[in-house]
Amino acid sequence: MRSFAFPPHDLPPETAQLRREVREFLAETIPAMPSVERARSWSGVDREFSKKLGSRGWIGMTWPRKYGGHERSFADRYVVIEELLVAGAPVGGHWIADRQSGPLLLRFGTEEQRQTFLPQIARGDVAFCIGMSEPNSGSDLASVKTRGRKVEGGWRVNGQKIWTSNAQHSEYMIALVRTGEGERHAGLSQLIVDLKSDGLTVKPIANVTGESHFNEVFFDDVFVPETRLVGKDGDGWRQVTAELAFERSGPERYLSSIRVLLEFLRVVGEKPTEAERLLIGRITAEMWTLRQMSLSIMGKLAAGEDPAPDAAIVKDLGTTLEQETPRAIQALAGEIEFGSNDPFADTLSYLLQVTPSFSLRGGTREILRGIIARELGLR
Amino acid sequence: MSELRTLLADTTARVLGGLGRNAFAENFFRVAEAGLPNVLVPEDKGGFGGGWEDAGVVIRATGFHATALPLAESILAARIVADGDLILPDEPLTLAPSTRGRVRSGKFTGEMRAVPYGGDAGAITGLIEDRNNALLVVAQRSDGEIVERRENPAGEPRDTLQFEAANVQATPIKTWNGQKLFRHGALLRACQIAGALEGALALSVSYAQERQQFGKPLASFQAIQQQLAVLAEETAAARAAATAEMAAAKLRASQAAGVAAGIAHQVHGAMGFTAEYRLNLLTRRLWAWRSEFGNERHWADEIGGRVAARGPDAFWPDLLSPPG
Repeated sequence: MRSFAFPPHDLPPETAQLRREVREFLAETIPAMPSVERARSWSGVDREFSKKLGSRGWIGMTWPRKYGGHERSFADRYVVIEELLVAGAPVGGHWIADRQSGPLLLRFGTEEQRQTFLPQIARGDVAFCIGMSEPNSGSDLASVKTRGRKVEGGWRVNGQKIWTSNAQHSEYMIALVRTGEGERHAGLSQLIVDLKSDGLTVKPIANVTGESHFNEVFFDDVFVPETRLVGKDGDGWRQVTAELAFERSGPERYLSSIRVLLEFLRVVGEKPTEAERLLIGRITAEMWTLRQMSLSIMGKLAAGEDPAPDAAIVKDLGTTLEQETPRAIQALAGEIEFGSNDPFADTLSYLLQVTPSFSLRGGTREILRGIIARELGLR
Repeated sequence: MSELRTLLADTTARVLGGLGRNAFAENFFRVAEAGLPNVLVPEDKGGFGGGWEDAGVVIRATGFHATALPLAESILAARIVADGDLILPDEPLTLAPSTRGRVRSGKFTGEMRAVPYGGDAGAITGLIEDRNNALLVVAQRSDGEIVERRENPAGEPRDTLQFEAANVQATPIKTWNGQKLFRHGALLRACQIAGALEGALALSVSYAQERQQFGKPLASFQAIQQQLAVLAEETAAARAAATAEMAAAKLRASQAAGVAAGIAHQVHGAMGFTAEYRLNLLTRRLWAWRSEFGNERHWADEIGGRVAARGPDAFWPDLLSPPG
C-alpha cells in the first residue's frame, strides 16, 4: 500500500517582499469591493483587473520569458494566488488560462501555439475555458461524444459541451474531442477552439443564485485548423489527466469560504462565546493543515513530480472545509439579517447557496475518493 | 527524506517491529541499544543529534507499531535533560506531564502525576514551575512511592508517584517551562496518532483485500472504497498537521483519530472488535491519545480565542506564521 506523505515545504523568506507588493496592489486596486463580491473568489470576472495584474507580471509567472512569462518560482506564484484569493480579487478572467491552459500549452503545445497564446495570456488579454463535460458525460469523462471529423487542413467539430465555466467571457476553449477511432480513453484529442468560430454557440445557464458562471456550448460543423491540435492526436486523455494535480491542489480548493469566516470574526468581535471560539479554532486549524498540505504538493510539482492522488486528498478535504464553514457558522450565529444589505448576512447567504458546486467542479467528491482508493490498491 | 533519516526510519521499523511480548526492561533495552531515545540529544552528548523531523519519524513509528514503551516520552525527556546539562540516566527514562513540589539541597519532595509507565521506568524527568522559572528534576523511580496506578483506555500505565526528600539531579532551566512541556507533549501525541492511523489504514486495506463476501473481496465494493479513501485522507491530514504548530497539530490529529478509528472498525466488522486481532492496539491508543495533552476542546478554544482576539485583519497574516 502506498502511503500519503506530505513533507513540509516552507516558502522561501524572500517571498515576503512579493507578498507585501501584492497586498499593496490590492489595497490600491480594489479598496472598496463589498464582501459579498469578494466571496465570488475565482468565479468573479473583471477583465480590466486581469490586465492590471498582467502588467504587474503576476500572470504566467513561472513561464519562460520568451513566451511572455516571468521565470519566477512556483513559490512566488503560490504567494500571489494566495493573496489574490484571500482578498477575493476578481481573478476569473485569467484563472483557468494561468492555472491550466498555459501550463498545458507549455508542456504539450507547438512552438507556434506557445508564441501565439502564452504572451496574450500573460498580459491578461485572452481568457480560456475548458470544454470537458457533456450532457451525457459528467464524471464519466471518457464517454465524451463531441467528434472532430478529419477534413482538409483540420477538423469539423460537432457536438455539445456543458457546465463550461466562463465560456461566455472567454476567447478560446481547450476542448476534449473524439478525433480518432477507438473507445473510451482512446482517440481523444485536445483542440484549441476559437469561440468566435462559425457554427459555435455559447448559451449561459443560470445557477441557483441566478448568476451565470457556466454555459452550454454547441458545435455545429465548427472548423478547427490542424495547427490548433494540442500535443498528439489521440493523446488527449493522458494530457488531460496530467493537468489534474495543478487543478486540484491549489489554495483555491480550501479558501473559497474564507470571506464568511472573516465576516463572522468581525461580527463576534474580540470576546466570543466558548462555542464560537471552538468553531473558529476548528476552522483555523483545518485551514492551516490544508495550507501545509497544499504547499507540500506545490513543492512536489516544483520538483517535477506528479502528485495527482495527493491533490485529490487536498481537494476533498478542502472542499469539505469550504462547505462546512458557512453551514457551521449559520448554525451558531445569532439573528442573521438576511436581505438587509448586512455584509455578514449577504456573504453567508451567497456562500450557503454556492457551496454545493465546490465538491462538483474539478472532479466530484466520489471521483476523488475513487482515485484515492485506486492508489490504496483497492481497485 | 535525507539518507540519514531513511536509515533512522529503517532502524526504527526493524527494532519496534521486532519487539514482541517481552518484559518492559528487555524491550526498553533494545530501543536504547539502537539509540532511539536519544534521537534529539546532541551528538556531543552521545545522541543522534537529530531535529524534530527526525524525532517525528521515531515517534510516529511508536504509534504505527503500538509500542508498549514510553519511547516518545523518553525522547522528549532526554532532550530536556540534555538542554539542562544534566546527566542522562542509563535506565529507561520517562516524562512526568505534571510535577509539583520543591527541591532543597538536592532533595526532591513532591508528586509526579499520571506518569506514562511511571511504575516501570527507571528514571523520571519533570519540570517544577516556580514563579519565574522552571526547575528541571531527574528522579530515580525506585526513590518514589507509587501512590496510584492508573491506565488510559489503551491500557497504558499512567502512574502517580510521591517522593520524600529523594536524591535527584536538579537544575533551574530557562529554555523550558510547564506550558512548553505540555505543548511538546501534544506534539508527541499528534505524531503518535498519525503513526497509529497509518497502522490502522494499512490493516484495514489489507483486510478489505483479503476478506470475501458475496463472492468477492470487500475492497471491490464502492461503499468500502469510499470509506477507506476517507480513512486515508484523515491519516494524511493528521500526518501533515503533526508538525511545529502544536495546537493545530493536536487538534487536527485528535479529530482524525475519532473519525478514522470508527471507519477502521466498520471495515473490519466483528473481527476488528476482538481482543486477539491487532486493530484494537491501535484504535484504543487513538481514543486514549485524543484526550492526553489537551483534547479537541482544549486546543480549539485556545486557537479560537487567540484568533478572535486578533480580529479579522490579522487572521490571514497569523495563519502564515502561527505563534507555535
